[in-house]
Amino acid sequence: MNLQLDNNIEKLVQSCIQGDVESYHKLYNALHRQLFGFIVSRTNNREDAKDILQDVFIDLWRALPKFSYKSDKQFYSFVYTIIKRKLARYYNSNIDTVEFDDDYISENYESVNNDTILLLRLVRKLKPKYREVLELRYWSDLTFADIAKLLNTKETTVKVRHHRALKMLHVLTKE
Amino acid sequence: MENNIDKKIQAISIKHLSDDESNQMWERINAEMGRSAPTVGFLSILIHKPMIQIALIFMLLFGGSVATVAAANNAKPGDLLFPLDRAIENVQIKIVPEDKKDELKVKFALERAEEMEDVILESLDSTELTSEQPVTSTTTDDIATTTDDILKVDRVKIEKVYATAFDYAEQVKQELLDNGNEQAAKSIDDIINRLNLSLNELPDNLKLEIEKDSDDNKLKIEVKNKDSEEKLKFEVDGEKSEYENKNADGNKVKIKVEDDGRVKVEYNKKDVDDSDQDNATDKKDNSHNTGLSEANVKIYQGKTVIEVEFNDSKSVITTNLSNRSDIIDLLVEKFDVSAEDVDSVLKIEYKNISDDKQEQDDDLLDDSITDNNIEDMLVLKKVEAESDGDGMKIKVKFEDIEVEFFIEDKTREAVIDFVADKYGLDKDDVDDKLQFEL
Repeated sequence: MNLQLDNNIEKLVQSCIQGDVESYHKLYNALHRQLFGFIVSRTNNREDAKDILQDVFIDLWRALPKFSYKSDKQFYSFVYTIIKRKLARYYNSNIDTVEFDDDYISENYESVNNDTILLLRLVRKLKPKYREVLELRYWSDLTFADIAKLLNTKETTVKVRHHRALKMLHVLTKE
Repeated sequence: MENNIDKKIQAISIKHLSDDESNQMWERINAEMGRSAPTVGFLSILIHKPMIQIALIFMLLFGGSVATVAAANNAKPGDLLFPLDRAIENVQIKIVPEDKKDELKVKFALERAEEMEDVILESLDSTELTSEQPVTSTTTDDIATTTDDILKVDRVKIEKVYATAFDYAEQVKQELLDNGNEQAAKSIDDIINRLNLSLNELPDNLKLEIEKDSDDNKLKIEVKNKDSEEKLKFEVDGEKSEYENKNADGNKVKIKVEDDGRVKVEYNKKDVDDSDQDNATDKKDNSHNTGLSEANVKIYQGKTVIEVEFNDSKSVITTNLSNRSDIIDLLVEKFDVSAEDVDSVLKIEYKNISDDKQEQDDDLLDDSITDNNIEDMLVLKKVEAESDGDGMKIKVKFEDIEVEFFIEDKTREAVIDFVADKYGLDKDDVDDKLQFEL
C-alpha cells in the first residue's frame, strides 16, 4: 500500500473524527493489512500481533476526537506512534517470552524454508534503526519516501540504512 | 549481491489476516468502541468531549480561538501551549460537580503519563536530529545549534515531563486520599508505575535519578550520561521553571519557561583554549550537498569536534558521538551528502587523551558498522556445538550477532568444516573457539 494512493484517507479520517462508525470500518479495512505486517514482524506470535492490532484500532478510535487532520503523513505517524507505544508495552510485559522461535515463523510467514528462517533471524539481530527500515519496506509495503515521512527523517537516510542493512545481511548469509 | 538479498526478503510474505479473522477482529473492535462512546447527558459530554465545551467557555470569556484551545490539549511540557493545557484542565476540574472531579483528576494524571511516553518515544528517535524542537533559542555567546546542545535540550525535556507527571500524580493521589477515594488513589499508583516503566525506555547511556524532597516540596533530578560522565542537575519547584546547570566541560545551560509558555534556552560556552576551535563557527547547514572535500574528526575526552570542508567553506560541529558510523549518519543528516562520500574523506584523530582512553575509543570504533568495516564485524567469538536429537545444534557467535544452525553429522570435524565453510573462516580458528559437547 502506498500512502500517496490513499486519496480517500482524509475523508475517512474526517468522518471518523466526527464519530462515524461506518467510516471507521472502512478505515480499518484499508489499514489493517499494512499495520498487521509491521506488528507481526515485531512480535513473532500471531495471536499477540492480533491482540495488539485490535488494541491499536480501539485506541485510535478513542484518540481520534482529539486528532486534527493535517496530512496523510501526519495521520500515519500518529498511527505508528500508537503502535510503537503498544509494542513498547508489550516488550516490557513479555521480556521473558518475546523470544525467537521457529514455530512462530511458520505460523506467521508464507512458504517458509531454511533461507527464510535464517534471514528472519538475522533481520532481528540488526540494530533497531536498520531493522525498522526493512520491516516497513518489506512487510508494510511502504516506499522509501513514505518511510522517511513516518520516521521523520530524510529519504537519503532511509536509503543508506536500507543499503547497509542489506549489505550486512548479505555478508552474514554468504555461502 | 545485495539485490539477491533484496529479492529473498521480498519473497518472504506475512500470513495476513484471513477474511474471517479480519471480520471477527472488527466485531471486537466495534464492541469496544461502543463501550467508550459517550453516554447521554451534559456531564458525560463534558468528560468525553471536554475540548468542545471548554473551547466555548474560553471563547465566551476571552474571545480566544477554538483552534488554539484544541491544540493546547495536545501540548506537552516544553511546548508552547503547555501552560494553557494545564489551565484548561484546572478550569475543567473546577466546573464539574464534586463527584466527577476525582474521575477527571485520574484522567488528567493518565494524560500526563501518556505525554511523557510520547516525549520519550520522540527522544528515542532523536538520533535523527530534527530541527523541529519546540524551543526558541536566545543568544548569549552562542546559539544552541550544535547537535550536542539539541540533545541536551531533549534530555531536559524528558526530565521536565517526568517531573511534571510525577509531581502531578503524587499531588492528585494525595487529594484523592484526602477525599477518601481510595480506589481512585490506587489507579494513580498504577499511573506512577507506568511512569517508572516508561523510564526504562530511556537511552541506555542516560541515567535518571529522581528524589522527592517532602520538606520543601521540590523534585531533585539528576541526569548522568554514563559515556561522558556528564551530569545535569535540576530542581523543579512547582510551576515556576528556571533551571541552570554546568556540565563537565564548564558550559552553562540555562533553561527558562516563560509565563507565556515559551521555552528559552541560553547556552554559555566556556572559552575554548584549544586553537583548533578558534575558528569554530556554527554555520547554518543544509546549504551544501556537493563538493565535500574534507571531514576531520578530533575526539577529545567526552567531546568530538568535526570539521567539515566544502568547496570554499568550513563548518565545525561539536558532538559527543564517538563512533564512526554515528558520525557518518550525523553528517549525512546535516549536510545532505551521501554516506559513501563522507566515508571516503572521514579522518579520525585522537587528541589530548591518555593511551588508556585511546584504547577505549578504539573499541568503540570496532563496534561500529560501516560499509567499510562490515567484514570486520565477523570476528568469531565462540562456537558452541551440542548434541540435539539426531544431530548437532551449533551456535556461532560473532561480535554482536549470534547465529544458530543444525547439522546431522555429529563429529567435531563436521562442525568445524561446516562453520568454516559457511563464513569463509580459518579452520584452526574455528577449532580454537569451538566448545563441543556430545
